[in-house]
Amino acid sequence: MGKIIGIDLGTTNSAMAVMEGAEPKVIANAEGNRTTPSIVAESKAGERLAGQVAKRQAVINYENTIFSAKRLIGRAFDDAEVKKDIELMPFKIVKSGAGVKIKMGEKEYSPAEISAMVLGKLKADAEAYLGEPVTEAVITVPAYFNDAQRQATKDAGKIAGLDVKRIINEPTAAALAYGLDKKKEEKVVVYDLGGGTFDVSILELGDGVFEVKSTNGDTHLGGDDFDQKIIDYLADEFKKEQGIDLKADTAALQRLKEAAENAKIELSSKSESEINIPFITADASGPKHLNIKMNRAKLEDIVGELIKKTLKPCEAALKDAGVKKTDINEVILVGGMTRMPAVQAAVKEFFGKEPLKGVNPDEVVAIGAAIQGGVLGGEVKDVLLLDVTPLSLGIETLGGVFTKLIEKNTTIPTNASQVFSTAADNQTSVEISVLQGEREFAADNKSLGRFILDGIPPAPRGIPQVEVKFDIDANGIVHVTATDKATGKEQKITITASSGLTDEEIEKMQKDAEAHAEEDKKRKELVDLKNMSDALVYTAEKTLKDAGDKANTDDKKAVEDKVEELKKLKDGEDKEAMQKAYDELSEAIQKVGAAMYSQPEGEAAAGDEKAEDAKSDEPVEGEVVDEEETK
Amino acid sequence: MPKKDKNAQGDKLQTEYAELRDLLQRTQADFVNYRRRNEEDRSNFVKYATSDIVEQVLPVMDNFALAAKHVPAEIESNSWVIGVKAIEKQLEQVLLANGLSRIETVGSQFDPNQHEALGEAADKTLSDGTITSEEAPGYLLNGKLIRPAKVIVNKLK
Repeated sequence: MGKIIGIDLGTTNSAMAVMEGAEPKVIANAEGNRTTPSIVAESKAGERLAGQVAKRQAVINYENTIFSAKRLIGRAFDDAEVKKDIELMPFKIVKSGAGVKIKMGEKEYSPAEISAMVLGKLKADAEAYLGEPVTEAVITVPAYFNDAQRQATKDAGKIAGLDVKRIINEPTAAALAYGLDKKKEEKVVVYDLGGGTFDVSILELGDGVFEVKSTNGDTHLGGDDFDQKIIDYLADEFKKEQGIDLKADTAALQRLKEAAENAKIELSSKSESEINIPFITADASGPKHLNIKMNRAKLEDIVGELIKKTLKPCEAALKDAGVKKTDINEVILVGGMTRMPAVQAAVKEFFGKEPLKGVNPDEVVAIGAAIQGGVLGGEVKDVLLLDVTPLSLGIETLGGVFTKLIEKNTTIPTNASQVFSTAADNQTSVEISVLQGEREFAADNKSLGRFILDGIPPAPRGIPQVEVKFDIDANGIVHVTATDKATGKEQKITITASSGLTDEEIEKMQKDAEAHAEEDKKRKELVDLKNMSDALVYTAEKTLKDAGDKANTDDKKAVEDKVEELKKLKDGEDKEAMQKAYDELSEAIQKVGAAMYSQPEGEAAAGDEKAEDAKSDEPVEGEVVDEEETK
Repeated sequence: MPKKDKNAQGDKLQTEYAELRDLLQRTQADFVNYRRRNEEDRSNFVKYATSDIVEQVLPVMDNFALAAKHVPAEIESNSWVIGVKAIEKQLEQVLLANGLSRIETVGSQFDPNQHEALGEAADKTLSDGTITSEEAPGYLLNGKLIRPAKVIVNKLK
């Protein structure tokens, strides 16, 4: 069985999403865009076009380019909305029985058939993305849609080859996307300012249902009106300055449109935008440039009226629902226009509540539809709700450092392993101290347990390979195993469910880690350097011994001196002096090494290597399980 | 334990087993698909990583072209002007070397996959649907459309 996709079939734009694992994911169309214009057309050659491609040819083929079919779907010819559209739309709307048909090319199509072409394009693109056939969908409709409109939308799905598992309300989908669950009694406002329409809905959650208490809006108010206001302003300013009407010049108007949209977007995050269109037009005196600075206050002044226009429907919706502003628990924003800070501020002021943010307002409805699809398809089930580890898990290594094996927020079940080695020559046992937390040092984290792996055959430090493996099962039970790779000898420990840390404790530990991040980092650097110095001293002494007579006496003397110096410094706290001595010794030892080997990479063992490369299977110098055991 | 209960329990386990098996298969399939898409995404990313920045540079190129078009006749052979035009050329070459290619327009047939119509013309000497002028050039980046060419199209009644 394939996946059920969620489709937000919009008046101007449509979007789709699907559950991927336990998360909803928006599917981009074949052109790579996350929304698709709800436009279809038939070209002169009789070719069927849908989406962006249809939009690009609208100007030269307006009578056969159909948009906003959603305004007509499931409506009777006598509806006021239909009458209005007949006047507004450049394509032909005709009577068919009691309903309507739209003329495109030589044929007449029902609005459902037109919508089916948009759905067909989405379906095909979803199939290309998923790599499997898509036959089932959840489609959203405005809350005010009546039975005929819902049925017609369902038919559209059917024509496109989709079994519509459910039609859900757009505001309900938005609430689902924000994870509002119907178990809690809540009143929610969904404020949806899209490209061409404005809808506000009051929802009541509880008793296992989402109930739409009231809806209101303005079917001819949206982002396009905002853009037009900005274009008008810019064109007027230019006319005042240069006396040229940019709106009469197609190419100039096009550039103005793009600039207006960019300015609108830019002013959502910045307080000022410079609209700069060089060579926008020319007259007898030469080329003309448009350069207008616009600040956010000016923009808000230009579109203020439009924003205000959305508040009256909000008032009416509250009244119809019999709900007071103070009863509202959540406010959800839908539609690209709600990115505008002025819109957010107006909504916040009106309802006296900070609106929910976080989900892309262009995609929130499609995401909600996908979640509903996931529920219907049985994908969102309790069994599948996967947990994450709230804190990192790891072990103590040389110098009291906490080495993480599993990072926090990793989805479980999971496992991880890393190979460690010994800190001293002939060390025959290692102690594994299992810890949980975010701090850099073992002592600052919570100990979960410890055990000893012994019987390691005597060998120089850094040679034995001890593999430490962490495994967390779905119940959060941690199994830690240490294995000596040479003998296969192993020891393990099982730790049950995070050893009972409460949510508060976990939060406290996370906060603690943040608060101490800086000081921990400094201390960790010092310890790392100490460990590296230790290793280098060891290697240097070994190299000297191995070199015997092969190296010249001066070089050897230099190394001996530097070794003494580093030995003195490495247990102190002076990081700079230690680093200097470390660098000098590395350099000195290289000379000796070079004399010994013709192959330069054989020199000075691993003394120079950073201790961080934990991925390799080789034991890492400096990352040693523990040191106490050896002394 | 009565036999009936045992059977019921067996059935329950049977259903549960089937459910879990189904879930596992789906998750497995999801994962395989996810990995495939991830690889695709990654190779696409490498191929088109530059597209965002290139897209933002295109208007600058447009304006260079417009500036060049509007050079006053009396200074056209001025060497400073020639130098500035060379900078335009240089910018174009950098982008071309990085996989940008220009979409053909004037004289070719309008194709909404590559062209965006801004308006129409009526030229009886040309066939219907022929592009009569280019208002802004369009580009492909490594064969993928990053901006359609904005054009005027001939339309015969």
